[in-house]
Amino acid sequence: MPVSSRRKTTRRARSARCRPRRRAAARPYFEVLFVTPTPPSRWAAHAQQIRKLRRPEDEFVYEPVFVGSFEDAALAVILNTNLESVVIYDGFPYESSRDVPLLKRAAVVQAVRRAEGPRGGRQRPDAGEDSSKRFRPELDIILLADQKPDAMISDPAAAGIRRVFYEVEEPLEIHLSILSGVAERNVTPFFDNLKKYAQKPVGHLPRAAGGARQVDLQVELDPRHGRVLRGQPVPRGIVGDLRWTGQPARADRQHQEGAGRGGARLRRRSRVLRHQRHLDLRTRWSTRRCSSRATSSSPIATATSRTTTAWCCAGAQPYYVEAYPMVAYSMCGAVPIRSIKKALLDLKAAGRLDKVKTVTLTNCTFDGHVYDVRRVMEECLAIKPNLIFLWDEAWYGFARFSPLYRPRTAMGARAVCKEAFADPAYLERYLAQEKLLGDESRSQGRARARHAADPRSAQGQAARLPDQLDAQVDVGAAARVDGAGRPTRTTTSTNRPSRKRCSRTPRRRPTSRSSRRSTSPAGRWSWKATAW
Amino acid sequence: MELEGYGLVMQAIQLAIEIRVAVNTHPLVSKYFRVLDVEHMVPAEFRQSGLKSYTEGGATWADAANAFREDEFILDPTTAVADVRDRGLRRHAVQEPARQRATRSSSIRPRATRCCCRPTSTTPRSDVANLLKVLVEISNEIEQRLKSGGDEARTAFAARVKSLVEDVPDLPNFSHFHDRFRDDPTGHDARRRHARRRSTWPTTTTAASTSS
Repeated sequence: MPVSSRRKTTRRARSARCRPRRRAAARPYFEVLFVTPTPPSRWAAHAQQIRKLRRPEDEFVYEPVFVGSFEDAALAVILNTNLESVVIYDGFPYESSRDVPLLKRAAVVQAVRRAEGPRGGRQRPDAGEDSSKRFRPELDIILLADQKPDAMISDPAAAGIRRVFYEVEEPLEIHLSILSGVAERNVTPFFDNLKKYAQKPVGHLPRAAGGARQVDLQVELDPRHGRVLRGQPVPRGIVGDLRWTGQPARADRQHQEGAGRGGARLRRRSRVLRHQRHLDLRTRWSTRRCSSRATSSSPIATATSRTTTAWCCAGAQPYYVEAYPMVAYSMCGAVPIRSIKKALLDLKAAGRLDKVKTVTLTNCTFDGHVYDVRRVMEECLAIKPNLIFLWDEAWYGFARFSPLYRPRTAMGARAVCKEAFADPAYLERYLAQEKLLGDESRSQGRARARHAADPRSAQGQAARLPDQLDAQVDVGAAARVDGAGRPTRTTTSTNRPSRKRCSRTPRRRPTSRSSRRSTSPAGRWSWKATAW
Repeated sequence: MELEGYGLVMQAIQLAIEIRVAVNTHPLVSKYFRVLDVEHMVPAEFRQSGLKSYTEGGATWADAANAFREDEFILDPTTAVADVRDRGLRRHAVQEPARQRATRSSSIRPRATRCCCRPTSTTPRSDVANLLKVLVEISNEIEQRLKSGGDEARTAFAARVKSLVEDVPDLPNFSHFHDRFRDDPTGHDARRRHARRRSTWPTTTTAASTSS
């Protein structure tokens, strides 16, 4: 008797232990990098302890990945795309025990290495933190310090660290910190809204009789990735909702935070263009709106071909700068920096530089030309320190995710510029350059060499860079990365005046019955008629 | 979205490199299609790092990263622009078959004389094979046509290649905006227009100088 009962409890206990593991298959999976000085022989036992922390109510499931040195950690961060968090133990060594010549030679690592402390011996833990943040800013860093965690977190160099713990005091806390960090990033208001909308029952009665919103939304979700396989047509109503209320407002804010603006203000109708416009589905109109805000009174804008329409509509005077031609292939390239500088210097010579407000360029053209964004902005600011830059990156939304591309995006270059301008060495470089150039600064000599902008005049304007280096990321591509699919109908609907009307100004939903009747059917609900 | 962005973009770059290698090294396809590389798309004066190609000449990731850091312009590796023109094709030969047979999630956007293929972050690997299959079919059709047509077809083909490759029209030269969009149509802008015709690019100024 006692034997059988014991067997029963054992079985139950075993099944209880197995249950979370079985559930784990359905949960999103990621990996956590542990950088630790402990010998590899203890890693297996350590991993087992970490797995024991799993609870059935966890939103995600993760596996630990152990490395023993800075170089191995760099390698893991570069190669392992499943990593979402890094847990760093104090006092790991620098050199890898493996032979990785390519890694040591790789330029990426050279760039990463700038942040690290003295070679050899014990590494400062924030060396690992800083370098992995530079390479993949989305990673969460958790530091386990063996001395004064409070002093460590207040150090400005540790700004990128999510949490600092004193040794392994609270294993469950560490576990929860890892999960909460990922959960924060996993929130997708735009996409969640779309899914919620797609799950609504579809009514079949005519609207006049039932009053129910009819939805012709065929969203097919890929069950494995949760991405939209086929997302059209998206009805007018949902686009309107997504743009102006609740969820999208959060999505917009989240996007800005993700783009490197902590504590972003969401000012939907702000006079000054302060942030990236993200959730705008009509790119042409959004360009026009941004243009008109950036240039208030008959200014001059330097622009390349396709954006000039927007400027004309905004009442600006376009100043066209030509791209280099590729006659052999009947293509146009991109606009060389020296042409842009020449245009600005010509205007300066004509005494019209004060009229120049913005420079608009298409980063990553259709044929794949990508600018050195930092250099363009820096050198234009050297000529006119309060320029506004509008970068059209409609084909380039993915670039933010790659450390290779990121410095060549508008927002990535903005971060680099901001950091450089705050550096005293940059001011020294600028002063030396001015001394060298002297009065020649007015001449064309300036157009030839690479120049530094005056960081003081850049700092003179309060919170200057956010105002100056505004970037408009065109949204088609960004939305696609988002996994939300692109409602193609919306972008091609300019020939329908009714839709245009309701798309320009977000209309308030009529409240009373009579006003609802007076709303023209071609107005708010026109998606129904045109979606077929 | 950040949960998988890093990996997806890496995968897209990888696929694009594979498309480049596959098209440019396939014995049949490479006769009629050529994916343009860095040296074709960006003139040497804008390539301070000297990188010529992502796929040929033993270029590594380190070289590419170096170019990304130093060059004034770089070619986005995920944009594979195939030149179909100097093989006697016009876009119609590629456009319809490619649209109908190959496009699913990699976007193929043909233009007048070239065709552009962009693998995106959601492009599956099998799309590369599918694209290559379509290109092989198109190449085969051309081969068949040339074979069955005899000398006539071959001379016609050669003439068409010449008209597309050598008798290249100049790019349209920008003159000026309509007067309505200028402060003083007779002043600075007009002077600038003449200055432009004298200076800028030797290749484009030919059309302007002959016409004026």
